[in-house]
Amino acid sequence: MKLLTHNMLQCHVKGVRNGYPLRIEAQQDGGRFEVEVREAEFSADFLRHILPRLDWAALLEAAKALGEVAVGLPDAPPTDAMMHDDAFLQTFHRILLEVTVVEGELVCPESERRFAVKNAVPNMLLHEDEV
Amino acid sequence: MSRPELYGPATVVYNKEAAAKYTDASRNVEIQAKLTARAIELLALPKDGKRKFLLDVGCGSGLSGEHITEAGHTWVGTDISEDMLNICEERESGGSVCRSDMGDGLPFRSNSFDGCVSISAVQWLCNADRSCDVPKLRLKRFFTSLYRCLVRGSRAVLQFYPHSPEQAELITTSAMKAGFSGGLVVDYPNSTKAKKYYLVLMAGAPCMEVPLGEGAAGEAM
Ligand SMILES: [Zn+2]
Repeated sequence: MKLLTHNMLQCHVKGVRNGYPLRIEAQQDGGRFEVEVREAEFSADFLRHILPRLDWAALLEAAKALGEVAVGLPDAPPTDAMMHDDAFLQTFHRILLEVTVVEGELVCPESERRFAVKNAVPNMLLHEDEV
Repeated sequence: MSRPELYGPATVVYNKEAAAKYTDASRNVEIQAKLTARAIELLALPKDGKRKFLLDVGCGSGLSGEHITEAGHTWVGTDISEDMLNICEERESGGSVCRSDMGDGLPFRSNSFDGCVSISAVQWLCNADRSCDVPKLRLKRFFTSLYRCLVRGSRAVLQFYPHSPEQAELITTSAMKAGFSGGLVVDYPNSTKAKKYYLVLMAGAPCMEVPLGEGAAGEAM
């Protein structure tokens, strides 16, 4: 799971109103937590295109949960000047599109429902009584 | 050839072995390539050559996603089959995937994607695998959540294999009820073999550029 994907994911359990953003935590059983950097094609245009759609606070919180591998984002959404600064764009690209949560869990802020991330795939399948 | 969804739920049909087989069969690869290329064409994305953010519903092992990557776009995929998704990760098809049942609604917040493609998946919604699975409800949850997570003015192109004209009608009607406009595009309608159905949906009106008010550009009266 890339952080871009995480930025769009929300808890869709029936009756939940504010299932966003999902907290990123270690797996409850076994405490597994694994993060990798997986190369992705760089596009400055894409970063500028997607920026207005991001929830910046959610991205910051997610990056913080991943620790050192995702350090380098400003507290406020990047300015236009930053979005034309190559060094910043490279950092932004790495955090948004290359840093990958391989093992962990996503936790809904409202229902505390935990969704497992295994082999980089978040499992958002619902149980019968959650639909 | 009978179609896999007639046997049972996707999770059962696409177990590990079947998932690997499906991904390797070269005929499948070729068909998926053609269907995906056509679906991307029908998306009618702005021709600015810029990378877009797309959703692939029922992405399976990433065969369609690979073509989205090749077409120069970033994508997120969803599928119900864990085995298919694991192959997708192994093959590094370029997307970021999550496991979910489209009939439960998509787990994404509003205005996330510039478009959606789906290859050979939507007919699964009409299967009742579990006692609580009523096709109409599943279709409603799917299309409502799809409409919500698309950027206004964008499109979804869903290629599918209807079992009957009634099923095609049911799927199309559900999409319209969720707010989409658009309809069915049938390629090669006179050939039983080559005939293909694409549900082409528009999520609201395209973003309109509001013209400047007179005198607003600073020109003198
Ligand atoms: Zn929740």
